[in-house]
Amino acid sequence: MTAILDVRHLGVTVGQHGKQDKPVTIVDDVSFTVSRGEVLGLAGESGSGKTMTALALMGILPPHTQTSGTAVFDGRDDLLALRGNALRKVQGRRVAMVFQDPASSLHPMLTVGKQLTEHMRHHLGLGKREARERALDLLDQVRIPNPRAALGSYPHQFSGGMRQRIQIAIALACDPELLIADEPTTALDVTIQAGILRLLDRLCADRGLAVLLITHDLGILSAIAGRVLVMYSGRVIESSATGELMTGSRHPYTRALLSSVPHPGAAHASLVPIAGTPPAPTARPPGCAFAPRCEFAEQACAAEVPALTLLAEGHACACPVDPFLAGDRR
Amino acid sequence: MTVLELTDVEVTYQRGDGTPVRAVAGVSLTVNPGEIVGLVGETGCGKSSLARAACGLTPVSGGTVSFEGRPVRALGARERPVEDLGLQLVMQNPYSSLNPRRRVEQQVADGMRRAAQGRAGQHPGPAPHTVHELLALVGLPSETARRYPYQLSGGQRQRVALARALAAQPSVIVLDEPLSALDVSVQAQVANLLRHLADELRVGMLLISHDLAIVHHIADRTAVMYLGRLVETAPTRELWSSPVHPYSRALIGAIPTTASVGRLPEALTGEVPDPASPPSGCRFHPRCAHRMDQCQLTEPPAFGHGSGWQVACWLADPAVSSALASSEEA
Repeated sequence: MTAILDVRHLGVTVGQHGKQDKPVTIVDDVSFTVSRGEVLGLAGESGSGKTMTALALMGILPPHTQTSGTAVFDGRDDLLALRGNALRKVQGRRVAMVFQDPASSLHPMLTVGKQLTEHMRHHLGLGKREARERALDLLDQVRIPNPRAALGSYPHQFSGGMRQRIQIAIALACDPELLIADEPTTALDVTIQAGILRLLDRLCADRGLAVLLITHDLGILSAIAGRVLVMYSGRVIESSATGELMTGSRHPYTRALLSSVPHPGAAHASLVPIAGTPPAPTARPPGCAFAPRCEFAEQACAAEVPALTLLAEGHACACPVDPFLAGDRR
Repeated sequence: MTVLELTDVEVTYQRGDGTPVRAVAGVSLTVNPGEIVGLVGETGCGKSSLARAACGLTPVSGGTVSFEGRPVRALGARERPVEDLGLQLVMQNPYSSLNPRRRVEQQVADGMRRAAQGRAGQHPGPAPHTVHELLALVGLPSETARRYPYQLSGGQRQRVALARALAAQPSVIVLDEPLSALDVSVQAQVANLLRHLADELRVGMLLISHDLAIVHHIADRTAVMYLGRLVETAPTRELWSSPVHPYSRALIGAIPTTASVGRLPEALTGEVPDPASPPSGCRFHPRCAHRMDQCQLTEPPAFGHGSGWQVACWLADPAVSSALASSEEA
């Protein structure tokens, strides 16, 4: 497998509004690669920098933000440096994005047909009829009943689940090589979610689509992702193959996150919430950002930001204490 | 003793063009003190309509809702009778269900004042007496009392909403998607809190959620709803380990879990039909893999399948299952 996206030392900072102060770091030194046909999971709670990472890669960060590092797409273009026409050739065509909330990412006053064919005609140079045929095919793939009628309908005429599937169809319309999906199924029912996960899995297998899947739901990542990166407070704190992460994670935060989700084998056992809340990016503690909430924290944790170190082939963790070195100590 | 009893409840809405839509089409359900009854189903199955009917926010078009043995009347222009204060509702979105212009203590104290007029002494468990006691009960520091909702996080607001519901010394709380606006680790905290309140204060809860994992985790009994009808009601643990109704099986099979790495969840085929024109016979038959001729003709009644377990499916009919068994032998 060849890497379609190679992100190195990605950083995102926000200049504080109306202040001359130092800019605030939202994403700090994030590196990863995504290969063709692979689903890479990006996990973490809200505020961990998952979405900002995605927006940076798409070149659609909000104003007053700066990026650093590189994100080389297909061995040539640095997504962070592209501007203007060069960016538009990649964005929406070779790299597409699906957002969490279809209600705010679809245009309320344009028909689904218009939104589904506009970029196809622009990027792929398709004629009206060809674009329409392709749109019908796409709607069928995402299982929208009666695709012909759907093309002439407006977003408000669909349920939330259907809107999300339309958004996915729009993202897939130009046959992208990389799909960045930010919580694509969070607003959906599990039955619909299962269908979408299967669709993504099929696209990866058949067409070699690479997916960067951002979600807080570790169950989804278990089902579909090959590898998972866990982010906390803007940094990657652990990365590994999915199976190893679910059963043999080494970072205390990953462990805590796993024990705070309900597990089918353990009904009625109390869930173990993580005490406290993640630090605000303006008040991140020195050293490990998770240390104030970590039951294994030692003095070393506050001294400096722990580096992501390779523990084994494909498994990296940023914890100087490494309390789970010899298996599960709890 | 049952505190909340729904008998053959129907809720009918009028569409813009005058077509009646039966969102809830005959549901019977009971909630006992200290019991958490989970109600699960896909978007549009009528869960929220049932929740609103259960607390009198929406009038029922058929059947009865009785609370502590008295009928619950739909809310009108008159003030709600003080006897009904023991039936409380917590809504999905704590950002819109709290008043942004009043301090937490004022909002929580409202319920206490009215409860003191009418309901004192009827509460099934030990009653908290001050705002601070209530806040402590839901795990909030007493400084929270002086705050406005905008100064609180989502999890804290949902706790305030709970404290406000508890102020009226309720015997039943109806919770409509209480956790879906919260982050995973916070969900665990609030889920544990609900279980604790049910156990300690003997408050009965009707917990409506599309997050099956959370319901699995804290509900004593679970009811599965499809297109306005209950298809299966069973003790939670049994339902999860051996669901009988094909729809319950599909719903539970669609949940991705961290325990099954690399296995894609099963997708249910077809769409939820329009509730204005439900399918004949069993409402699930067009999507069911086990449908028989009988299913298209006659709606199955609820068959008993063990203690506290009811299944509305012809497969659970003793006559049908014995016939199936004998045909397999032959």
